[in-house]
Amino acid sequence: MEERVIKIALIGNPNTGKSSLFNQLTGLNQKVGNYPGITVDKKIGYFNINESTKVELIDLPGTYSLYPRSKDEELVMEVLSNPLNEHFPDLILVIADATNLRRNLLVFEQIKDLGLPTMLIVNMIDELEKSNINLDLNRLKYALKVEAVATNARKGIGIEELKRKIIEIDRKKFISNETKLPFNYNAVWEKQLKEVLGLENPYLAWHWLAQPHLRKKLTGAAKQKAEDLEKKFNINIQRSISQEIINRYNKIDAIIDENLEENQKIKASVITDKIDHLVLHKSWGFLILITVLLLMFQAIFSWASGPMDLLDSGLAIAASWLSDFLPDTFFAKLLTQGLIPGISGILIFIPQIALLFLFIALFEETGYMARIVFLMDKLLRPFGLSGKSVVPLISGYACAIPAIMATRSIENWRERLSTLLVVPFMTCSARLPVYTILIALIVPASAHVFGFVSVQALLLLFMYVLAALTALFASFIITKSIKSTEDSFLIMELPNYKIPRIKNVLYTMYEKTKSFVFGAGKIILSISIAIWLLSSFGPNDKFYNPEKYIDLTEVKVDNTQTPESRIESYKLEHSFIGYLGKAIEPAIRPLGYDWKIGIALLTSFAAREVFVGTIATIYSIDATDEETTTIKQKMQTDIDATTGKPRFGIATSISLLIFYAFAMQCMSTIAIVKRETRSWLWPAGQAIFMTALAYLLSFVAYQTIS
Amino acid sequence: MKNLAQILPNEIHLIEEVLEHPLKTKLLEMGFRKGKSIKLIQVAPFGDPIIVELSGYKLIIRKKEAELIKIIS
Repeated sequence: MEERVIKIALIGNPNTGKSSLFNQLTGLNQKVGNYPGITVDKKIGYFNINESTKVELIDLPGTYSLYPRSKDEELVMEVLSNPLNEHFPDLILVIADATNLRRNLLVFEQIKDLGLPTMLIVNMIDELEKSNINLDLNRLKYALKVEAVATNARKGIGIEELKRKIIEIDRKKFISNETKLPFNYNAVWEKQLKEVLGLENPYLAWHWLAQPHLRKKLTGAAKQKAEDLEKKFNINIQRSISQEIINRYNKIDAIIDENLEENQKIKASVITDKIDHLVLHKSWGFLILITVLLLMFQAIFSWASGPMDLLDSGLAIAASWLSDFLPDTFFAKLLTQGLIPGISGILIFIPQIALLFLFIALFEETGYMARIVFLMDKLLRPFGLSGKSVVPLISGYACAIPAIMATRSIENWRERLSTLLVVPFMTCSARLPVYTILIALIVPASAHVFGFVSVQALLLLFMYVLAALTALFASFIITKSIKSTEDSFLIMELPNYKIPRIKNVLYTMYEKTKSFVFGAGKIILSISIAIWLLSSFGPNDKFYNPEKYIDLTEVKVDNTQTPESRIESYKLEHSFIGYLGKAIEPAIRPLGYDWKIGIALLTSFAAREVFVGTIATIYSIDATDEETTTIKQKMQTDIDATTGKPRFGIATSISLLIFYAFAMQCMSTIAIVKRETRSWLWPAGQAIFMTALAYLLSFVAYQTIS
Repeated sequence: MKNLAQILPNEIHLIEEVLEHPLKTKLLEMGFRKGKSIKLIQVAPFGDPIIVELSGYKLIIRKKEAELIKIIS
């Protein structure tokens, strides 16, 4: 028997259990893709109803109405308005929250009028039963003239019936025969508009006129004619939409009043009120928020480090085992020194991403995210950020990669962009090893204020505060300079608390991890292989036969340098990246850096902490002796040949500290920003801006102090 | 005439109208309709936004948007 594929679109208000239903229907058989040109995730899942029927289910962004307020919401009509769209559905499932039918039916009525086969899913039917309210589904179906199913998606009740109805019922019967527009209008105008656009359904024709993003796509002649008609008949789009919504609600009210025994009102959730009494309290609320955020930070900062080290050392062991085993050829080295460490550099982020999204999924599932927004909105708004920016910003203190991915939950594009552009200023954990060494060079460990507060610790704390202030300030500047077509507003549902569905949480963690590995992974891998190539090859014989050029019998005063470490150091100096480091010396001289630091700046583009390892190699510190104190001592005693002063004097060290605080020294961040904005423009602009700012501030600092 | 940003916690009012504004349709869609009763649940610790209860559900809304909703006092 030939298999047929039914395309189904799933639509509904936010917080209706839409993703629970999607997960129930498709299980792990789902994929996340992207729509061309925009940043909204495309979630598609597949399931079989029987041997001959397969369903392609597309999960469209949650919306309260067909009139969009964000790029996400525009997508709904993008798919539904165009029969040539690859996801144009054979059937639309509109999911509605049974406890809030009036508001949920608004978008249902709109979709029905588009003249496409539509079916209603009344979800959370258990909540209604809990409140002893009877919903006569048959009468509702009759009144709305549709097919409907009652479900409890969280428990999987009603799913089989839904599947059966999808195949058993003739979908043509679900098409509404509504031929009138839902507001007062001139019949001549309506007839001509349909003709001009070549559409039979008046409501669909109306949307092509009323929605700017659709109108933009009309071809020249049709657009001109439609706009001429608009002028001729003096059409007021906003007023018509207002009228439409009022008319639709009046109709819905009448239907609900007749079919829902609301003599017993839907019980307000007593538990929710009790929890909110504490969670939204003006002091307890913040205490709880800070505790929750600290816990989240702790998770990605420390709990993730165990699995990360395991991954790191596991792959390192695999690489060294392979290199013992394989012949000493270019491809073997490419595999063991380029590819495997590169892949390790991608996989290393997985524990942090999975853990952060565990927390975010829990916040979203339980309803706590809306509470965070409520508490924080006022504080962040002056900087052009949203209440939802708190989670990404705090996560940025651990690592920018998961933090930038977390900005996905911010609906407003400008607020989301501001957040993801400033997150890399936050003091991520990769900066810590660099800071530790530099701070030790600037302030002696013995320095204390009030006799017990370490100055080193104070300076580190200052760097953390500075990071947050810089991020807020940068966001302020960005908001002022980016024009946005979306209004900044906040009208958001405060959902009742719910027990999270473990399945939904796990799906989120899995999906985010997968999207990182396959979305940003190839950029990270390419850059890390490029850096490996540059440091593993040199332009001349000095790189390939270092033994000929260094006098290993020369006696060195300190015994930390083994012959092997001196060869490594010499090779790094004469590799391509070594010569590059020397080439950029004139540019970084004004900041107080020499070519040695230049090389470290270049290699640490792979990840900031690489700075420490590179410095160790340059100073021929044996790999077994990469202790912070050894490196610090080396750096302290190094004398700059041209000036005769210590190379890492106070001025240079402060300048470097500032450089690492502000510069975009992280290829993975660039890769994830590219992935999240779907454009090279934003990561390039961000990297240039951050580097320029770092250069300027380091320059000022070095020149003032030295 | 008073607007939604001016009412006190736990007061119940009837909505008179939503003022003409680009967000008017959004507010109507979210259920701020003439004749519906509305109650202020809580003001955020820093004075904004507010939580209101409307037709059995709660919404977070900034005062700037709440000012567009006129109420019968």
